[in-house]
Amino acid sequence: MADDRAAPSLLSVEHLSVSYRTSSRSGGEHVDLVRDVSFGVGRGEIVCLVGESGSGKTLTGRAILGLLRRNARMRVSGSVWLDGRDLAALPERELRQVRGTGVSMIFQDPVAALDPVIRVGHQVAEAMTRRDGRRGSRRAVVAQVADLLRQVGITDTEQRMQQFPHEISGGMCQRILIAIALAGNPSLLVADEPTTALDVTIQAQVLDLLASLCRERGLSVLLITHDMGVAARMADRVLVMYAGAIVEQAPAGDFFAHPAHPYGLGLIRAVPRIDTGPADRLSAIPGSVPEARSRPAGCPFHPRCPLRADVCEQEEPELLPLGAQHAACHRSAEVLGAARSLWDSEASVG
Amino acid sequence: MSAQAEVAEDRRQPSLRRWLDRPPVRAWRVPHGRPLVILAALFLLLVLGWAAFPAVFAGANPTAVNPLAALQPPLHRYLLGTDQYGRSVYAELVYGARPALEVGVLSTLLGGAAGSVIGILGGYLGGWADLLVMRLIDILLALPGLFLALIFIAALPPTLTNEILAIGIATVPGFARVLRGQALGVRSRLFVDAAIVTGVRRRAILWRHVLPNCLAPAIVLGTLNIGTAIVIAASLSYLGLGPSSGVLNWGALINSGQGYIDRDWWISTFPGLLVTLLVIAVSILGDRLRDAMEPSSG
Amino acid sequence: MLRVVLRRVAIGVPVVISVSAIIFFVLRVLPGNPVQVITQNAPTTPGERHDIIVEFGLDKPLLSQYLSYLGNALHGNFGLSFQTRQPVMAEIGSQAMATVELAVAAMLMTVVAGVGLGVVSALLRDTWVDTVIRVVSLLGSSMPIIWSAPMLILVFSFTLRLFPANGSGSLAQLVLPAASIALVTSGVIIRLVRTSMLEVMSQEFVTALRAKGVPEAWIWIRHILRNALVPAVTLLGVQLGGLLSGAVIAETAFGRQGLGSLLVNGIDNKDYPMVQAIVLIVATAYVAINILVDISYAYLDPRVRTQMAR
Repeated sequence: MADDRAAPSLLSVEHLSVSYRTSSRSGGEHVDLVRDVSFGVGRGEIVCLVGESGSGKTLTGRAILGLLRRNARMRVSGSVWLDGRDLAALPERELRQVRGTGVSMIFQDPVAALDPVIRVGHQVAEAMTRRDGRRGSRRAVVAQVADLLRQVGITDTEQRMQQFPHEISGGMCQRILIAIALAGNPSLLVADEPTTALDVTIQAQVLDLLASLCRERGLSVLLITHDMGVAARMADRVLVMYAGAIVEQAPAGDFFAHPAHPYGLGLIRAVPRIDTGPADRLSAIPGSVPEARSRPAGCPFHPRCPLRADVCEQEEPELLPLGAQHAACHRSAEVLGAARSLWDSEASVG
Repeated sequence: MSAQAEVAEDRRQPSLRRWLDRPPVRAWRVPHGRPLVILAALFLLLVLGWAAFPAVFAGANPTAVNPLAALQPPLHRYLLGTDQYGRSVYAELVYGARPALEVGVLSTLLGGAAGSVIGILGGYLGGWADLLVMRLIDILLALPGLFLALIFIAALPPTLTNEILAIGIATVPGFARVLRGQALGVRSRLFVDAAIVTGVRRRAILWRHVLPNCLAPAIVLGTLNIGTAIVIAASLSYLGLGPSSGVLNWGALINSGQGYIDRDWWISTFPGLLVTLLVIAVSILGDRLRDAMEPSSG
Repeated sequence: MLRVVLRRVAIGVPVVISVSAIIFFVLRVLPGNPVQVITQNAPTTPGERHDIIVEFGLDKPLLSQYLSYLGNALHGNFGLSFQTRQPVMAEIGSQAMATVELAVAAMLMTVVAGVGLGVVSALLRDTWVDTVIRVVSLLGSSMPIIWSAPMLILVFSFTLRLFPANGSGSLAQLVLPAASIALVTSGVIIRLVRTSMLEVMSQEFVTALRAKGVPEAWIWIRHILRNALVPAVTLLGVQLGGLLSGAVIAETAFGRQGLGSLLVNGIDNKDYPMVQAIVLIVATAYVAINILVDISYAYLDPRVRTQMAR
């Protein structure tokens, strides 16, 4: 389902699938890791792709940039339309041009995402100079780098530029990675768990930076995370992934107030609240994410779902609209109706 | 300095030394599948058999000169051919096993024991003892490869015992370095601190905790070192610097065969092949031992 | 960075001096009476013995003999050969070049083969090429040079008739000797480079570089190779020891001139000043080069630089 907001769509992912061949011989088993995922990101919009590990969200992000092409065992199909061009169909050389200028990516471990033997200033410069053809004088490059660093909130730019990644804190490195990502002036930034490896206070700073960049530059962000708190803070729209497919899609306000899929509801409930008393139990979703190879038939979530019915074991639900929200659940209307009591009754029985 | 501070200090030492001080981690492991290990072990047993009972394998009188049978190629009447004196190359290999293994094993035992003691004492005692040990290791290692053995070979009469001594001395720094690293590692581990705290005497700690942990790498290193020592001994006899009494040294055989290599290639080829196979077998076994003894590494 | 250099040199100097002491005392004390050594146990008159003692300064206390030896050595005077009664340095000076040539050639081959094959092996991992390279490197590093030399002669000199089997002086004559050494020393390097490459290739920053849109060739050369070769540099320093020992053997094996042959001759003839001088020179060179390797390691890997400077 394409994006249904009024904002013109920047990114449109259509029927994206990623499968993995388990043995190196061509007769190996194919495992579906991302299954028929379709969504859109509008201009200036922050879309959060949430899910637990194993949901396929990271692979989706990497597939958008075509980073899975090098892996001979991964098969990617579907289209990724960015500004009118299907990135998935582009030859590598052209796609390389798009990376950094049309769409950029930042990663989970910022220190590991930088080359340890090269000064960060050079690494930032590397992201920009090659695009302008001629490199320009050294002074001009240094000035541009300094400017970029300031845009991401780094003050002592001269000193920072000369440093090596291991000399810099995680939060600062992530800022530098954001600077690198912005160097080519992309319209979309894919952020893969950008704050997971950082301290909580630093997390807030980095997220604020992303939000302000979005506002000021009209940068669209696809923020991949497993942290519902981050999603609540940042998202304009939320996409929930489970077992390789999108199971819920909604504007943020709607989603957090009344999710339409049991999994989405469970995730929100699982976030510890500051107002839970000491006697209240933390609610968690029982069970765990199924392995890609041994997915249950029908709805992949049904073994863990308190609302499971016979039809859930037989037929995988489609992503269907319910007002402004979309959910892939046979009983989504009920979910929407009776949001909270569900988990309380389960918790007191179990 | 407290034990922990010292170890932390040592961790900040020049990385080259730290890099080399690590327990011997190979960049790539020798293929060590089960059949290969068995093959290697059998091969080594065979060579051991040669050393122990040469007459059983190759008859008596390997040194008998037999001009009529000189320079026969392999697989005619003699398994591996004959050399320029008519002696069976195979017999020379068999009889050469004892001196080779004697040097290899004894020098390793000698140097390994001495080096281990020095290394462990330095690593465990720390302080000035450790400084002394480190300096000593540095100095001995400043003479690369053969050279440390060579100065003793030069200074002493060319007997087998002296060769064992010389190669043994050259073995010392390698062991000292590794065992020192081990001892340091053991010392920094909590349970030793716990023992010190509960009042167990230093010597008991050494005996009961440090030594057993250091034994494993010493054995692994020793196994590998036997191969190295055999190569050094063969090289020395190749250069004509080996024990003057032994006529049947593999190295000397390679050397004497080299003059005939254009037509009678077997004289030099087989001894060298044997040594190479020995080194490979010893490496396979050493790696296997390491796996068995140190499940955490590799 | 400067601090790292100075610290290294400061450690190196006492090491070299200590080594010189060890060499001196081992070769002076252990062989017994030097006069007998010099005269090769030929019968001598007391007058002749006295002359020899004076000539070689053997009457002074051992320690002062050592100190004057050291002092002279710093000026390049390593005493007189027991054999020729000529200054040792003259002989060494004329032969050193051949050994340096051999060592450099062997090192070059080692680096080219080691890095080249290691990279190929990593890029083509799990293919037959990779397997062949790994087997060859294992065989190579297990071979003693006393064997690789005659085998190379057999194959390339006599069977294929490509290169000469002995002598020194021409480039062609350098090939097989250098190769016999490089065959052995590169084995370890190949494996290290392979592992190192594979490690670097799988690191996150490489993916990040691709996400940046950096051209593939640039990634390989400027980033992957640059990172992967750092541990290899350190290993080269270690291999140097094997290279120097190997040179001694190769010179004998190929009938080449050089310090190795001089050394072997010296040992054979109990020409201790010659042996002393050569071993001391080799040790000094080895220590110096290892200092250089340490320094370059710090230069190449800034994480190490930070550690070393503390």
